[in-house]
Amino acid sequence: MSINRSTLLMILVVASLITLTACVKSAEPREVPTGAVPDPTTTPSPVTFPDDELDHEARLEWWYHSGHLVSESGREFGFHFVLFKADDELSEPNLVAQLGIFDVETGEHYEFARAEAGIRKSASEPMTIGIADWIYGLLPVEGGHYFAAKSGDTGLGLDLKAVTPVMLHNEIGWLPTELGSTYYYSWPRQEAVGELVLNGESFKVTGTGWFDHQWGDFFVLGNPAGWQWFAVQLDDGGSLMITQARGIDGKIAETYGTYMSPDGNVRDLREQSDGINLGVLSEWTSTESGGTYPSGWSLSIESLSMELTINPVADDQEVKGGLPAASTYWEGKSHVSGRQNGTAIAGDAYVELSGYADPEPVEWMQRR
Amino acid sequence: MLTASGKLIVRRKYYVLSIWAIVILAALPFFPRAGEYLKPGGFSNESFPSVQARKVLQERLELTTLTVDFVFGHPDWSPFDPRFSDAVENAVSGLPNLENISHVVTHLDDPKRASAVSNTVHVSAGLAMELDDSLDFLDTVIEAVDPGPLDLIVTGGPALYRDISLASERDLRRSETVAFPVATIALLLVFGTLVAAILPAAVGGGGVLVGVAIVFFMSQGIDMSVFALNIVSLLGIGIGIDYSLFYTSRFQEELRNGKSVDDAVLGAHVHAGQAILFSAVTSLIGLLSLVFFDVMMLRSVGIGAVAVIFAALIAALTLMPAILAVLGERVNRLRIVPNWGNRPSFWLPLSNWVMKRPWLVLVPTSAVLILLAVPALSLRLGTVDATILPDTLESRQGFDVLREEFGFALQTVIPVVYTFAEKDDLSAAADPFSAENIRRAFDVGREFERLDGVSGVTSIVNLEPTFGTEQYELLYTHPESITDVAAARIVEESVRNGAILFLIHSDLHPFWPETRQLVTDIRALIPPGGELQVSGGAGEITDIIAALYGKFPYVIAAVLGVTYISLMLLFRSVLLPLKAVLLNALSILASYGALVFVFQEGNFSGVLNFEAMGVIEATLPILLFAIIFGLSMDYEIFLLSRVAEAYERTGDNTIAVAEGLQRSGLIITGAASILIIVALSFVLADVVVVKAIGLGLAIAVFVDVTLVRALVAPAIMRIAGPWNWWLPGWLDRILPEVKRVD
Repeated sequence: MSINRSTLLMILVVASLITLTACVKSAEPREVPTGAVPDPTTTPSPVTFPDDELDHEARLEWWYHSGHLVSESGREFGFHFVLFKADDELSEPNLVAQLGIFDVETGEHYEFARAEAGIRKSASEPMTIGIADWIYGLLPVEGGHYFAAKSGDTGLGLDLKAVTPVMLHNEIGWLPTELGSTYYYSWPRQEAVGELVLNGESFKVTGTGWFDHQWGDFFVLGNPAGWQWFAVQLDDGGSLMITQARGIDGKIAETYGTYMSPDGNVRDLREQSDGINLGVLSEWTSTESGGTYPSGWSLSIESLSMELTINPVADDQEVKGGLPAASTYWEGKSHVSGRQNGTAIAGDAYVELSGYADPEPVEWMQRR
Repeated sequence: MLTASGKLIVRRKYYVLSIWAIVILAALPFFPRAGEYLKPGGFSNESFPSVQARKVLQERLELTTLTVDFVFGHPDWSPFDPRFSDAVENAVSGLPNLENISHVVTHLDDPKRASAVSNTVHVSAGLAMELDDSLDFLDTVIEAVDPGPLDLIVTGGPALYRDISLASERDLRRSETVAFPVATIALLLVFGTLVAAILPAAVGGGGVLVGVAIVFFMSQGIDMSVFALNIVSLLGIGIGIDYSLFYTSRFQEELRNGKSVDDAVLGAHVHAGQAILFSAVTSLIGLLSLVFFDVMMLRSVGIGAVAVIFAALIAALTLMPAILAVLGERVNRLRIVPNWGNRPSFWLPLSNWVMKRPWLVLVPTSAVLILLAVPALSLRLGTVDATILPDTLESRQGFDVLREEFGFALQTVIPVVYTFAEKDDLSAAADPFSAENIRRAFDVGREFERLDGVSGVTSIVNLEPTFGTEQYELLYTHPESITDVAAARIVEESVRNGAILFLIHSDLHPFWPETRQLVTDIRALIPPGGELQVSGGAGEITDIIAALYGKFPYVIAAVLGVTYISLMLLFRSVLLPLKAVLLNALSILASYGALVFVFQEGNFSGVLNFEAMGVIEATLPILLFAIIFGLSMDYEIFLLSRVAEAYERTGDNTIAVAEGLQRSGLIITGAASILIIVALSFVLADVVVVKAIGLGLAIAVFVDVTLVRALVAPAIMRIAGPWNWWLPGWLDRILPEVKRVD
């Protein structure tokens, strides 16, 4: 009979945790504490396939595709499709999927998003995930994926099949960070075949994709923390991943990467031992988010005798997210040119820039 | 006094009738308005620590504790289908314009509000107002929402409370519709004549009418719970009819003995009147005990019951004699059922049979009574949720969807506020994200995790099990930089104004005893440099039960003691009142046992159409104690009055018991049958707790008038023999004289 004054109170308190607050400028940064180290008891398991292509019990997980497409008529496009899974263990995990399409001909950048609560899977198709009216899944070949994402009269459906061995980062496919650890591997080259629909116009497309999969109980911090990430596909068949991470103080914490030679050999790259140098050539400021992003890079890797220049095909390839709590970042199709061992090389790249747009401050800071 | 008042009423019968006609006519317009000022709920108290904690939650963390919840659905569109999302946004677009809406949260703000199993979405609108005010505001909120192509169910606090009020009122009307005609038929069977049968129903009804009108006026000045009306009504009908029946039958008996109408009225007035008076006093003792609880719901039942019993008593002692004086012999007109009085009595052979083998009857009957009471040993106190409402109501349907698809109310979430600084302190020491404060909060979080029954903790320092204080210090160097959806939300909403919110999760049911232990354990923790306050349902029920059952033993002792002394005064005996009190307690325990067997364990849930509660609502045992103690004592007094009358005349205990049982047999059976009928009519109620009160009462009265009255009582009185009437000389001298009328 005390009906549910108490039940309701409980419900209401939980429900009211979701109110949104206004945003103002950030406060003074605190001193960065020292001694923050990953839990030493965390021991990574070997990454195995196809099991680890599937979803994991992890706080954060993402499946990321990007690539370069060309239509039968020769029209060029860039794309990225990413599925995020956030799971705080107390309720159904959240899924958020984002699709970005860049039309090289018009310079137009399109972005769409969908979300879903919980993962709907069937026993016969262990990795087919629905995200609202979008679908993402595994093809029955190693390193094979597919997705179909359409919003209104624009969308993209691709089958992607790996044409190289897997690229395990940090040698074993596991990276410890100051705020948890993450498993991380890539299929650096996937043959892409599918259909792209742009404002109702349909294109049969083929091309080359890059795939990243990360999962773990780790936290990603935004501005001033963040990263610059490069997925380079060279015309000679070589593939290169370079990440430059910034710490919470905004300073560069580390630069590392992985190189796969045209014959499929994988090599771990470290800033000091391999002589990685990443320089910014210019900047671009978003009128929408206010974030100022690097736009054009020089990259040299001494151990590979490689010198590259990377330029975005367009400045404005910013991703606003469009769905709950999706942070603003830059994800852009880029061109690569340079030399390796004295020979001219070229290629395509997708570049991701995170932590450049200002975050929204929390309540206590607003008051202060 | 009774003689004088009886004579006066007989002499001035038409004046008395006129006054009553005026009183009833004046009360009539207020009867349908009885519920107008009654409040829903009424179980909590401003002084409870959990209520204080709720205020801290509101003041410091600005957490709205009241929402209207909308469940949107579509047969084909999935929640994040743009058509669905657009329709939801359109539907609630008008809400933020309403003055008292603090926030609106849809699945687009929090994807967890989209069901993982169906095309259903949960949207909440926070209300910046008190629960009582929200009931009137609810329609404004509902009108502002146009679901368009979507299906919509409205639920949440105000909707559930309003439905409880409506369901309670409907239960009341249904019970009255069923109870009055069936009770009249029962009266017809007792009296045999239509006039005599209608009379108690009419006088009892008059008493209820006036009593409920008094409740209407009292509820304008005193906070009274809507549940009071049901219970007051049940009591009023039952007791009012009891008194009138007892009075009428005595009048008929006096007429049969050859007295004139006026003398018969006078005879009934002094004999039945005294029993009624004492019976009312014992009922009032039981029900007044409710006034001592710091819980509005119980207090208002106590106050309402006193009003209605008082009205029933006055009606029986003034209206009834006046009507009987006018009716005279005509009370026996329109005979429909053959005269029971001419048939051989069942009670005389029964009492003789019992008294020939008292031990043989007492032992097995007592064993049966104890057996009935045994389930009461596993009584689990708690409170219940929206499942007490029938699933035909929209708010309950919405609650079910939220429970089944979003896990609401299945897990316990206990909000605990850790206050570590003054509300307006903006100094660095009050920075919740300073290393010092993060370390303190971290320690508090670990303490919570270690407690028995805790399955998880949500807070800014319980995000990741592998993190130590160093990781949290690093994470909160720039709290605004956290991109993790869940963590960012926790940071945004659970830290401000010198307070940090911890949500303690447990797989225990929110309202079960084990959870109350957890609340107690949390409260026992002493955090460094701050204070912990437990709010939420679990905190509130812990406080309610502490408030109720801290006092209950004293209330029981006081009620039993005062009743014992009253009966001792009336019967000049040490043993008889003791027997009466103990047997009454046994009837109550038997009804507790039945409650546990049926409502806690869920037996007969199909027949009675309810969902097993798993616990017994904490107020039920107290309510039943107060009501049953008052009511079943009626029969004990009616019976013992007759036994005492016969004993004083014959001086033979065995004859007195047999005669008392015989003379009161039909009347008590009739009165009890009527009360059982009225109580059972509450079993038809939609609100499960009202059902439980009805069934508990019916079982207690049934046990009381069958096993206790017919078997145990005569057996004990036979075994006790002359000791029944023993009163030490010194006690006799100091006890004030209450002259029992002959």
